[in-house]
Amino acid sequence: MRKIGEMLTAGILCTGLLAGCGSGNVTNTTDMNASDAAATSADSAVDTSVDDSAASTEAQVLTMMLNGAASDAYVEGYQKIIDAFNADNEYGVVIEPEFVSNSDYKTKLTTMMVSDSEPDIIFTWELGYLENFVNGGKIVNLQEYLDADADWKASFNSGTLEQETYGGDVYGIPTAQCMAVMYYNKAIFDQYGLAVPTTYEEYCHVCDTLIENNVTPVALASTADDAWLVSQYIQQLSNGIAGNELFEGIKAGTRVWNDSAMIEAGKLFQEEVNKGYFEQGFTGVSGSEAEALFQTGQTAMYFNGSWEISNLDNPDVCQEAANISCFAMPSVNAEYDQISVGSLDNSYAVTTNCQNVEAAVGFLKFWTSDENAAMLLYDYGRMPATSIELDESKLSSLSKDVITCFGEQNALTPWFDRMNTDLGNEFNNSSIAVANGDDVQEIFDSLQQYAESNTQ
Amino acid sequence: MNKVMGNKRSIAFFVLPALIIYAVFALFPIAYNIYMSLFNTDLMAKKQFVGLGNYIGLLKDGTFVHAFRNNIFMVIGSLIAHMPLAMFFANAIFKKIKGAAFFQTVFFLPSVICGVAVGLTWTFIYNGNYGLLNAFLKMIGLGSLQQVWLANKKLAMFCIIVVIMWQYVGYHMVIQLAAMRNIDSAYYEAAQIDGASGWKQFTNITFPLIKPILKIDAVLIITGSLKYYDLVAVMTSGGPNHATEVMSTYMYYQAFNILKYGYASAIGVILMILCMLSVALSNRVFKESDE
Repeated sequence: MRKIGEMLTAGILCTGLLAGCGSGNVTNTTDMNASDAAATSADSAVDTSVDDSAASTEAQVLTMMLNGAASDAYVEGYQKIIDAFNADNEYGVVIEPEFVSNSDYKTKLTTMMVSDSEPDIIFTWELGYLENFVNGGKIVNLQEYLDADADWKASFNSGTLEQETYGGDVYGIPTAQCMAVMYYNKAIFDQYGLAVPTTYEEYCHVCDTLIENNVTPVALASTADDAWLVSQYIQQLSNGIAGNELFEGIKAGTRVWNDSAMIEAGKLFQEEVNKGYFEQGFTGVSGSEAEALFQTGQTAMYFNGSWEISNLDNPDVCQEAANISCFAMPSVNAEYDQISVGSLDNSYAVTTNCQNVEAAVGFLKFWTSDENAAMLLYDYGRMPATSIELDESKLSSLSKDVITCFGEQNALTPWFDRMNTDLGNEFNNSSIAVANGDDVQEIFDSLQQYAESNTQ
Repeated sequence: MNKVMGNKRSIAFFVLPALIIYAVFALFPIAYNIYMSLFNTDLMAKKQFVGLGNYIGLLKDGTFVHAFRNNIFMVIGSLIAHMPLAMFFANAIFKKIKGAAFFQTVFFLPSVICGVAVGLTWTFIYNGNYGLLNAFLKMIGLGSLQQVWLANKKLAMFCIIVVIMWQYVGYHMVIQLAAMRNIDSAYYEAAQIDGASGWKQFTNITFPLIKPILKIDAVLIITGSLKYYDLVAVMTSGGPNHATEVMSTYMYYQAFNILKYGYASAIGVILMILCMLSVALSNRVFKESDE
């Protein structure tokens, strides 16, 4: 009897141990970032969505993962759209958002994808990034939904849906577009009598004048995690040297990474580094540190995407908000002027895990509606991927400047790491080596060698 | 209770839960990883059998060879810091120098701080613009030596190894100190009566008697250095341009950044084999010296 008792006790302990090891059913997956962002919103957005889901127990929950941190002002705008949809939609569903910071997003999404635990709706980048998941059978083909609603399909700006088209079908819905611009501090430019440069020589003159006056011209980050900021700059230089044919050629495999234009861009960048165009020790400066230098008026310029508008024209975040404007980086060769690095800013896709694709598509239609696209543009500076009637009086001064730049572009070249995740990452790493002063020819020769060995 | 423990079935019953957990979380993943290393896969699309293709690819992969070299560099650096240096500190404290208890706590303290916090702290120390190291160099008149330490491909790996030395020297010191404290004091008393110097006492009493612990310590140092991840990930993410890549960070890069899970699995298998080989090698070295 005693033996049975002992065995029973041990059995209970073991069961307890195993139960402890198991993961409980955690229903609320809302990330801290979302809660933090919601706290800044007047509506206390996340609380509302969680309460709603609790109140209407029958509402089907669609999980959504978005790219954004609490410090990103636009997160508040995204939350407003989700709240509005949750408050009233014909599908009886509730969108449960999870905001993940940019630096963690790719790791988290790929881990979820390969473990079959992806959310119903995901933020995604276009081209090669989304293609991995499309090829893996993880993304719902949205072509039939677009075909069924001709007005919705026609509302997208030309060239946007094409970037998320694979095998002739659309798999992602673009909600915003972007381009890399050179933000500049008007007060500093005025102080030294500088005009917005329209040629590369003028750009060099601006930088040289600033250096003569002990002002750091451009804030740039170059740590391994922010390598894309350097590669974005080098890519922009290469656009101005050889136009978008270079990008298209590399993408198609008809031109090489060690093309003379890429080498020239790398060397030009090193020349700029040696002349002191970037802050001292920029190779060890992170993205947020570089942005802070510009926001506090310690540098005159800052090269980054148009998504930064909401962080730069907000006086609560940016000390110099009232002084900031932008221009498109002038090209080295005049014939390739107005060809900037740019692409889709935001895109969303529906995963094959989603049990209610119709509702998910309905939500994306709601997101891209004129009303929401306008709200994101006017309040948060997100340039819509759909055509809307523009009310310039509602635009912030910086948004207006960025839209003007955007409208003047002859072509946009997407970031290389969106074109091909593997090669793009290596290009980013190579750009860091260029920034560190290594031999440009050797760096791009190695990159080309890497590209060849990985496409065999 | 003794009766229960004497019964083989009861023993099996008690061991089983741990065995199941071990099999699920260690044995099965290892076997699955070896299996995956034979495929070209992103874990989503249909996987393609490549046999030993991933391993052959690794031999030709310059970045992997560089990461492997960094690991070896790390093993050597750790062995130098953690064996003789830790032994020196352990012996000093064992000989009850003034403030021994204080130094023991101070040396051990970094090893209880999590790697991420240590990495972030040292990233600030090494920062080119506001880092403590550059400020110190400037203060003592060596401003010309100021660097963006972690962005310099020739120095970044060395900087990381210094941090590893700093973090773990106290940990190995405590292990060796515990071994020294287990030595019977009668040996030292007898040696003192015979007029043996401190150095002779160390070489003829302390060192031979702590050797078994040194063997365990060496295994811990070598395996720890081979599978090192957190500090490198936090401080440099393997950069600049893969300069500080070690095998574990490169495995992570291949799997999570560019979705080559089969290739990453092959790196994992090589890492495991190297750990097993190094354990066997250190066992052999110490066994030979015992004989």
